Amino acid sequence: MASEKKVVFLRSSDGEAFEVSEEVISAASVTIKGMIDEESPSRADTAATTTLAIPNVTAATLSRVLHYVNKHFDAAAVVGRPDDYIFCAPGDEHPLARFDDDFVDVDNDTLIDLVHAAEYLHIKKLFDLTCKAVADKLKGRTIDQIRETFGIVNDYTVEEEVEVYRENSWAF
Amino acid sequence: MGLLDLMRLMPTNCQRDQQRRRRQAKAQARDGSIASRLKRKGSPCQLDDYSQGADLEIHSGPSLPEDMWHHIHSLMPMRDAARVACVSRSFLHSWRCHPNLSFSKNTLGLNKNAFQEDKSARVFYIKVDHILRKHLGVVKKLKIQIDSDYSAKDSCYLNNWLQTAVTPGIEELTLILIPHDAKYTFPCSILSNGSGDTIQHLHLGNCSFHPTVTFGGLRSLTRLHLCHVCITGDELGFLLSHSPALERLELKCCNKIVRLKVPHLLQRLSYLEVTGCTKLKFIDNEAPNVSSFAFGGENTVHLSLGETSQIKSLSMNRPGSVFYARAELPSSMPNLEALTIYSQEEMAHAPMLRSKFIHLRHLSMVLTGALLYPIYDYLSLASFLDAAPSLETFDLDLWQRDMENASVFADPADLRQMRELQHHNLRSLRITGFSSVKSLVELTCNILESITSLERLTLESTQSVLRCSDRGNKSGKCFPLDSDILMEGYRGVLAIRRYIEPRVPSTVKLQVLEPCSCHAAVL
Repeated sequence: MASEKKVVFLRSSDGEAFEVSEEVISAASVTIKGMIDEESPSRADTAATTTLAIPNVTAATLSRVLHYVNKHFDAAAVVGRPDDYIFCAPGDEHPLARFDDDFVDVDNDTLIDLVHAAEYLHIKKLFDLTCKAVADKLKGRTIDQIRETFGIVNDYTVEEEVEVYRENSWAF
Repeated sequence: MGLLDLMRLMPTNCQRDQQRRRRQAKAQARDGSIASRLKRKGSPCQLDDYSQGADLEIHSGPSLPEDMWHHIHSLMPMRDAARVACVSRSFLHSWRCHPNLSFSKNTLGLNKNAFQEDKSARVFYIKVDHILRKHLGVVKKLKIQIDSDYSAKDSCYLNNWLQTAVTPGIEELTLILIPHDAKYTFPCSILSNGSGDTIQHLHLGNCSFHPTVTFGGLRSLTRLHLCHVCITGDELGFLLSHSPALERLELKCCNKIVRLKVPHLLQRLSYLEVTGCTKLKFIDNEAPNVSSFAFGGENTVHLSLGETSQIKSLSMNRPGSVFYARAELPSSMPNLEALTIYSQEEMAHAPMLRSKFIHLRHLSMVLTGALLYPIYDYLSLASFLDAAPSLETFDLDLWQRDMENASVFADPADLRQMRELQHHNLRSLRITGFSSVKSLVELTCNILESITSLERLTLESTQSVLRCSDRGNKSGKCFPLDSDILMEGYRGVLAIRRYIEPRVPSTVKLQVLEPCSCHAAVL
C-alpha cells in the first residue's frame, strides 16, 4: 500500500464536497467506515478518489462535523499524552475541553442539526457532546420556553398538566 | 442504524403521529408555505385555546424525535429532569424512566426551605417514596444520602427503596448515612436477584455490610468503596474472592477489619486504598497488578504488598513516612512514578543515600505539625532530588507553627550550600505554607542554583482554608488566620524578597502568593 495519506470526499445534501483523511474519518464515523469498506474492493486497483454521498447532512453542518473530527481523531493533531493525564492536578482541564465548549456554543437549530448528523454518521463522542449540550440548554429554561424553543407540543389535558405540576413541584 | 438503536425506547403510536405532524409542519415551514411562526403559551389556564389550535403550532427550526429527547432527558440531573417532565407526556414518560436517581436533601431542594429539621426529614422520606413508586424501568445509577433524622424504624424505608430500585441492570449504587449514630444493615439479599451480576460500582457509607456464604458474587463489580462500614476482614475477604472484575478497592475507617487479605484472583485490581482503619494489623496483598497504593494509618500495621515492583503511584500517610520513603522505597518500589507523602512526625531527617528513584516523576509532600524536635531540617529533603533524576515536579505543602526561632532572620549567618544536585529534569517546584525557616530558604536557594532545568517556582504563604475568592464563600472574606501564622506568612514573603528573588535566573518564572489582604486588619 502506498504510504501517502488517502483521502475521501464527502458530498453534502446540498452538493458541496469536503476532503478528509480516510484514516481520520474511519476512526471517527462508524457509518462512513462502513461505506468505505463496502467501496474498497471496487477501487483497489484504481487511483480514483472515492466520493461518498451524505444525503442527510447539509454543507454547513458537515463542515462543522469535520472540524470536530479533525480535532478529535487526527492522531497527529491531538495534544497531550494520555499517559500523563492521570497525574494532572484535579483542576486541570482535558486539552480539548475548551474546544468542545466552544464547539457546542451555537444556536439551537445548529446544535440540533449536529445531533442529527452525529447520530446518522455514528460518531459517538460527538453525539454525547451535542446531546449533553442540548440537556444543558434545557436546564436554564422555563417549561414554556422549552416548548417554544424546541417546537414541542403540549399534549397534556388541563387536569393532567395541573397534576404533573403538583407532583413535580419540588423540582421548581 | 443509528446510535439510538442501542438505547431506544419505543415511542407510542400517539407520539409517532405527533412527530409526523411536527415534521410535516416543519417541511411546510421550510417550503415557505407558512411564513410566520405561530406561538402559543402553554400554561394550564390557556389550554382551551390549545385544544383548538394545537396542530397549528409550528416551530421553524429542526426538531428531534422522541427517542433522542428521551436520551437527552436521561443526561440531565435528576431535579431538572423532574421539572422538565411538565413539558409533555413524552417528557413525563422519560422522567419516569430516568436512569440516574440521586436522593439527598440537596437534590430534592429541601435545603432552602425553612422547614424545621425533623419536618424536612419527613418530607424527604415521603418524596423519595413517591418518586420511586412511580418510577418505571431500570435505574442505572442510584444514590441515596440520608442527611439527618434517621432512626431505626426508617430502615423499612431504605429496605423498600433498595428493593424497588435495585434490579438487574443497575450499574452504580451509593448509600450514605450521614448521622454518625445511624444504624443500618445493608440488605445483601437485594443483590441476589440478578442485580449482583450487573452492578459495577458499590459505595457504602456508615452502615453495616455482612456479605456471607449465602451471598452470590458480584461478577461485574469494578469499584468497591466502603467508608465507616462495619464489616469484618473475613466478610470482606468473602466478597473480594467473589468479585473477580474488581479494579478499585477503597476502604476508609472500616474499624472492624484486623487483617485485610486481597486475593490473587483479583487480576484486574490496579488501585488499592486503605486509610484510617484503626483496628487494622495486617495488609496482605496478593493481587498481582496493583499499580496505585494509598495507605494511611499507624506504623504498627504490617504491610505485605506482594508485587511491589508493579507499583507506580504511592501515597503514604503515617509517622516517619518521609524517612521511610527515602530509605526503603528505592529498592522495594523501583518503578515508582508518583509519590505522595504525608507526615506529622519524623524520627530523623531524610538521609543522604546512594539509592535512586530512577522513574520518579512527581513528588509531593504534605508535612504538618511539629515534625521533629526541635526543628526539622528541610534541606535534608534535597536528598530526594538527588536520588530522582527523572523528577519533573516537586510540591511541598507545609503547615507548621512557632517557627520564629528557626527563622533565617534570627540566624542570618551563611546559608549552607549542598554539593551539586544530580538533577536535570525538575521543571516545577511549588511550596505552599512558605515561611522564613532557614532550612527551607536554603532548600529553595540550592534548587535554584543547581537545577538548571527549573522553569517555574511557586511560593505561597499559608492561606485560609476558606478563601475570599472561593465560590461558596458568601462572606466574601477569608476565614481568619491566627496572628502568629499570619506574621510568619509575612516573614516568609520578606525572606523571598531578600534571599530568593536575587537568585532566580531569567529562565525561571517566580510566582509568589502573599497573605491575602483580608487579613490586614488583624495585625
